Amino acid sequence: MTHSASSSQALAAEDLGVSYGPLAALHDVSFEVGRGELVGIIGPNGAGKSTMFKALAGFVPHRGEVFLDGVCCHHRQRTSIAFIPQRADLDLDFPITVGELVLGGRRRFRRWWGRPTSTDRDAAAMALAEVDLAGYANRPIGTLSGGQVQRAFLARALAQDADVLLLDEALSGVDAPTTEELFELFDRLAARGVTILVSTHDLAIARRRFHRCIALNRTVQGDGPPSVVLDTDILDATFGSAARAVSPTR
Amino acid sequence: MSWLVDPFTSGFTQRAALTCVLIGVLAPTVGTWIVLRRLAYLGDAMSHATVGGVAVAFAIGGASSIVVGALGAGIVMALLLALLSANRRIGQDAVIGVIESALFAIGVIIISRLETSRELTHVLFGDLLTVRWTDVWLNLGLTVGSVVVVTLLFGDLRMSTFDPAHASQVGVRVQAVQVVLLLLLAITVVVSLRTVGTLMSVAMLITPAATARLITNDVRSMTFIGIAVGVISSLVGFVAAYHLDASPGAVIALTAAMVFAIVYAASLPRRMRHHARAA
Repeated sequence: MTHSASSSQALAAEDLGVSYGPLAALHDVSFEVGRGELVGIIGPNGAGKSTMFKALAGFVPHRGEVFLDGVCCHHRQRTSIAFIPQRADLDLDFPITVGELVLGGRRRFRRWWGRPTSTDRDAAAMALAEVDLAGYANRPIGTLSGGQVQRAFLARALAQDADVLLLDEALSGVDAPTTEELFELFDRLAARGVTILVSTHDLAIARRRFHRCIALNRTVQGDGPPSVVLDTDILDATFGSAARAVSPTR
Repeated sequence: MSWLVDPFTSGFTQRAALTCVLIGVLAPTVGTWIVLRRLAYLGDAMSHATVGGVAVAFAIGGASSIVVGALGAGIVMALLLALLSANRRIGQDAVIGVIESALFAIGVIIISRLETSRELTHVLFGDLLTVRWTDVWLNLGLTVGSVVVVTLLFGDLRMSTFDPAHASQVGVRVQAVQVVLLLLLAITVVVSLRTVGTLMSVAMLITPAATARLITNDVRSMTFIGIAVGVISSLVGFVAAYHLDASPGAVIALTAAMVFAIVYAASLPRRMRHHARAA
């Protein structure tokens, strides 16, 4: 099954829905994202941003279809999608080094009994260099700062050869200079053709740094440039009227 | 030095010492992953669950089939846990509690109805004097096999422990790895039967690995340090039990706990400095 879309389409969701028992966490979510696009997914806590990412990555059972490069990937492993969980969902005290973490992305290229090859090690080293963590391979993941942790997981995604990156609340708990550094990296990767979706509830950052935002609250409330999506009606539908008071207008 | 040599002079104590070394190697190798997955309760549950299998096997086939019974109970526990954990409404700890108590209850009922249960007491608390060469060879085979499996699965164990969702995405069979780990846990309890006994096996499974975790931040080093702590605790406990005329299983467990306490105390200043820097 293929999806009738432009050849540059990297990811598409069609009527995506997820339910936890009787509760519909997500329903009728449809959108398309082009290759090399950087998209902000905005919505309040509990809006279904993480659930949508997990459904796109195939981590939770869902209704509807997900298309990668125009091809339906129902019941298929979505190895070209990399989901980067939020910091709070990770055990950063786990004894694993940055190098070992990034090599994990190469597991898709070998069998369970195989050991990482020199090709895998070279790919991991290149991925680390690309995110400016070249000298950090032997550092335990727990000793990194918030921004460095995000970059380490981005390196794992690059080593995995993922075309689509889903970053869950990647900007939470990082300071302004680190946020800028991360966006410089996102821009670099997007220019290379990597498609990046970043969930956030920071409307100021969404307005300033994304060219396209998708407002989500259980379903898509708005989709387009920030000037359109951060409009009061869409914000009301997504966050409730309280968001208007804190949303910067420029 | 005769106090050190005496415990190893006779044939049966040499066999017992060898069995202690084997459990000192195997338990921390598996225990490293149980500690990292924060599943110490599962280790305890497995040790209780095997009592059911041991009792059933003893009632049917006598003392010679105890090992088969323990292994069978471990396999039943592993499969039931994999099956029932798919239900998201109840946590895995609740599923473990239900299976453990059911299998343990079967064991208690059977033991209470048997005319002689002396052999079963040995299984519960260990009895190094009853170790035969067949036990040594069986334990050696199980230990070597288990270490090979852990070595082959090392990468997948690490990935599925740290980030199971990503591991699954890049081709790791996370559920299968979990079942293999449970089977290794069952094998560890089986190898513990004659040395520390099923009920004390959790001590060797958890304590050396937890001690190693206090010392290192690397999984390989954690395994090797855990093995060193396990083997030393086993042999020191064995010699101490010989001279104290006490239960070897209990003395070995206590020795491992003392090593943990010493390492914990020694690491306190370092961890306090670390917290002070982080604050």
